[in-house]
Order: sequence, then C-alpha cells, then structure tokens
Amino acid sequence: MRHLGRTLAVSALPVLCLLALAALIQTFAEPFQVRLAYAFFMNLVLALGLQVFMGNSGVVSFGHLGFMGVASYAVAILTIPVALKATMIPDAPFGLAGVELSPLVAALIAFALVLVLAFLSGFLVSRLSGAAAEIFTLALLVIAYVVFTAWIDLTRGQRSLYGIPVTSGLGFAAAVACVSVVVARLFRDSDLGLQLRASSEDTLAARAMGVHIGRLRHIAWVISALIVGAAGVLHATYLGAIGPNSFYFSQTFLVMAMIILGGMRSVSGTILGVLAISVGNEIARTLESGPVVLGVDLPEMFGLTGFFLGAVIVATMIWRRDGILGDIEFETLFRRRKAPSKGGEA
Amino acid sequence: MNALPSSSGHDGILAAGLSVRGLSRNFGGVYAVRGVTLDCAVGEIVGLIGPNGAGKSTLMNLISGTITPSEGQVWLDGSAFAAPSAVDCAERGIGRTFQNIRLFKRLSVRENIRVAAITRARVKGGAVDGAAVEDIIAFAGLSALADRPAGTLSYGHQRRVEIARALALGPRILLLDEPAAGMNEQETEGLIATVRGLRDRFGCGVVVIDHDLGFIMQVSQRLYVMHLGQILVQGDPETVRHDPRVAEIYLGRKK
Ligand SMILES: Nc1ncnc2c1ncn2[C@@H]1O[C@H](COP(=O)(O)OP(=O)(O)OP(=O)(O)O)[C@@H](O)[C@H]1O
Ligand SMILES: [Mg+2]
Repeated sequence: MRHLGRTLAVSALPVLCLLALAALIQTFAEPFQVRLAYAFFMNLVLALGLQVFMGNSGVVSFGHLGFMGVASYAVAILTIPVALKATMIPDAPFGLAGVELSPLVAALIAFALVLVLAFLSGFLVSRLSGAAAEIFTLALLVIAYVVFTAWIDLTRGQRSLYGIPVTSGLGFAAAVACVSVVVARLFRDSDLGLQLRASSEDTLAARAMGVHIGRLRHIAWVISALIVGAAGVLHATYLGAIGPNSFYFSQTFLVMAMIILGGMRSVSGTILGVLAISVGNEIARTLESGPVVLGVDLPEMFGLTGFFLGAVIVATMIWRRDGILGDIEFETLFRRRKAPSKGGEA
Repeated sequence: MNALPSSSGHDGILAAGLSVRGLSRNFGGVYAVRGVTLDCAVGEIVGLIGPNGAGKSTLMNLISGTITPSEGQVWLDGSAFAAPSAVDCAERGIGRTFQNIRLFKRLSVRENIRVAAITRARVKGGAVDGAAVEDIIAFAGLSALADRPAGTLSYGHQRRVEIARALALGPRILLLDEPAAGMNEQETEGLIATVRGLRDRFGCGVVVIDHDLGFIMQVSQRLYVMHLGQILVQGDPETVRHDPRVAEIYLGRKK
C-alpha cells in the first residue's frame, strides 16, 4: 500500500525525535523530569486525538476529555485490587467491586467502552451542523463530569480512586505517542481525511463533489475518541490514582491551547504545540512560585499558568489564526528549503 | 434516489443525457424558476442565457441537488431522481461549478481535484485513479500549479480548477455557471477550446451559463433563453440571435 508506506516515511522524523527524547530523559533525567516527560507524551496523545477530529473536520470539540475520563475510570475500576475496592467503592454496581483484571484486559475493555460511546454520540455530532455540534460536545463534557462526580458508588465522586497498579512508564507512553502520530497522519492523508478536510473549507462545494460529510465526521469522531481513550489509559496506569477534575475544563483548556498554538490542521503543528505549551507551562509554573532568577527574588504570581494559556490562545487568534504551522507538515518544510520556490509565494 | 421506470420514449426523456421537466422553485411567493423544461444530451453543449435574476443559477442549483425543487423532475440517462441530494447528484454524474468560485482554498490544486476523484472511485469501486487525476490537471493546463494552494491562484486559473474538479467526478453532465466571468478576451478564447475539448475528450454533456452573448454563441450548439424564471426562447444560436424577444429582454426595448 503506497499510502501506508508514504505515511510511515513522513512520520519517521517526528517518531524518531520523540523516541530519542524519551530515551535521553529516561537515561539521564531526575525522576521529576521523567514525570514531566510522561505528562508531555500523554498530552501529546490527547492532542493528537483531538487533532484527528478538529483538525480535519474543522468542528471544535470540547467533549473529548470525557472520553479520556471514561477510559481512565474504566481501567481504574477494573484493575484496583478487590481488597482496596472493598473500602473505597464497596457498593459498585454490576458486581464490579469483586472484579480485578489485568491492566491489558482492562485497557481493552476501556477501549471497547469508548468505542461504543463514541459511536453512539457520533450520530449526533455528525448530524448537527457547525455551532450546534460544538455546543453538543460541550454538553458531553459536562455530562461526563456529572457522571464521574455523581455516580459515587462507582467512581467515589470527588474523592480520588487510588491503588491502580502502576504498569506504565515513559517508554510505553512514548510508544503510544508514536503510534498516535502515525494513526493521525494515516487518517489525515487518507482519502477520507482529504474529503473531510475539503468539507471543513466549504461544505456546499464538498457536497457537490460527493462528499458524505456526516459519515466522515462520524468516522473521525470515533478514531479521535479512541486515541483520547489511550491517553486516559496512560493517565490511570501511571499515576495510580485518578479524580474527576483531571477530565474537565482546565485540562480541556490546556490541550486546546496546545493544538491552537501549533496549528491543529497538521499533525506536525499539533506536536509542536504540545511541546511549546509543555515547556512554557513549566516555566510559568516555576515563576508562579516566586523563584530567585539571576539573583532577583521574584514575587509569587499565583495563577500565572492559567494566564499564560489564555494569553497564548488570544495571541494566536490575533496574529496567527491557523497556529504556527497552519496546514504545513514537517516534510514540506524540508522540501521547501531544498527547492526554493520560483514564484515567491508557494 | 429511486429509479422510476426508465423510459426512452416517455415525454422525449433522453436515454443518454439530462432531461428537466416542469421544474419549479419558489422562494416565498416569488418563483425563481417556473415550469422549466430543458434537455442536454451527452456530447452536446447547451447554452443558458438570460438577464440578471432570470433564475439561471437557481436552475443549476436545482439540477445539481443543491436546492430542492417545489415541483418537477430531473432525469439523468432516462431515470428520474426522487428527492436527490447534492451528494446523490455528484455520485450519479452531475458535475458543477459555482458562479462565485467555491474551491477548497487551502488544499492544493491537485488535492481539490482528488476530492472529486475519490467520489468517482467510491462509486465505481476501487482506488483513486492517480493517472486520471494527472490527466485532468494537464488537460486543464494546471500542471505547473498543481502543488499550489488553490486560493493563491489567479481568478482565471481558479475557474479552471473548478472545471477540472468537476471533471474528476467523471460526469455525464457538466454544469458551468458563468465560467467566463472575469476573464479577458484571450482567456475566454482558451476557455472555448477547453469546453469543446472536454466534451470530446471526456464525453459529457455541458450546460453553460453566461451573460456574454459572444462567448455563448460561439461555444454552444443550442441555446435556451431564460427570463423571469421561465424559458422564453430556445433554438440554435442563429435563430436565438435573431429572435426579437431576446433583443427585447437584453436591450430593454419597450414592449
Ligand atoms: N435562496 C434564495 N432566497 C430567495 N430568493 C432567491 C434565492 N436564490 C435566488 N433567489 C432569487 O431568485 C431569482 C433568480 O436568481 P438567480 O441567482 O437564479 O438568477 P441568475 O439568472 O443566476 O442571475 P445572475 O445572472 O445575476 O447570476 C432572483 O430574483 C433571486 O433574488
Ligand atoms: Mg447566476
């Protein structure tokens, strides 16, 4: 398959860079830096999942963190030892308090659950037009949160579920991120992805060219939910404890800032955005606590990270609506450098 | 899209080509198109002229499923479309361009054309014919621009991309809404050759709308003149040219 071969070739650069990064950090870095790197790879998976839907269809989704939460809770509830569950969620429905599965089986069940939920919600997302679909995704986020916080017998509500066997590590997260890069590129470059991208520019013209917009949106929705679900599995199996607030507005806002800054229309832009925001966010977090920089004792600046994300989104919207990379993928950058365009603009 | 019993002799419905029977569409109380009957055989170039607001674009939107008719029926190759959507029409072989160019501006020229080629491949079953895509690009004279984002092209080139994109559907009937608008004399000459060439090469029927009588007289084999939503006159270009009613609506001679 020519398409697969080409995608693998163009994904090679980001994939190799990501793997090298993971190897370097794993070998040389302090434990807290490994944790940061893990968060980076997990957010990358989340952002790539969002890119598959938003970047190709042009429809904004606020709801994807709900899928991440579903996967995280599913893995948590299925893998926490029975003895612990007896104290935390003894009245869990469906006899779940007495179930203890291996992380692999639990992850597969989590994916199946996300698949079913995404498939069903996808009917509405694909039928509604633009703004209505976006509001529906917002409702999904809120509904998921309400379920996480109110179904106390199952989720323990606002209190965290702990004791999830920690089976994931940096290498695994990096591998999942690399698979996500390839899947996102495969979809973007596929016939389905191209027709979906066309529909995001002009729905009327796309229909006149025979594009089944609803069907394509539905497919992208399901694929993107599954990738986001993988981020949920990474979340639960590394932290060992989860709570509902990881799957709500602040995390949605963070990942939005990432894909908006880098440019969600391309996979490369998404990677770049996750990298930039992760670094920037960490710097903001350090400054927030009022450190001493070059001999100057800075004041505490509470809320700086939130301000940073907001500022990034506003600045991108004003100066570069399509993000840093816009429609460009990495390999195009290299091709351009090698063969300078004759006409000026290319 | 139920195929009603196909009938070659029925009302003169064409067995190979487009037949429009009694097509109407009203917006509120106003009919933009009223009782229009029109034929375009495969291999034929038919012109559609008429003053501003005559209903030409609305007719094209009706034929291509972009808007739904209030009454009447569209037939393609002898079978009728019952409540067709734009997607159905594209899949069944009606390709079109738009009066206000509607390209996928950020996709490259090649990708624009590929979008339609994907639909054709899906309908026929199989993979996209990459060679056919390149063939269409070359035919439309766009080879040097194939990797450029469509939105960065000049007006005349964008019009060509729209035609090429519609051609990639492998259409039986191609609908061109004012393809010569905004073109200079030289580009218009080129367009005439292109329209004739595509009919011969891709074997489709073509319905062309234009205001420019000179262009439309040269390119079409038959003409329909539309006025206030209805077909006023039809015939070969010479007959139409000398019809006093045409001069009246065009030159505004008093009744
Ligand atoms: N969506 C709509 N809603 C209401 N009225 C409409 C709509 N579309 C078209 N019309 C009206 O229908 C009539 C025919 O318009 P149409 O665009 O078909 O004319 P046209 O012959 O293509 O004109 P032009 O040469 O200016 O392109 C006009 O009076 C127009 O105002
Ligand atoms: Mg018009």
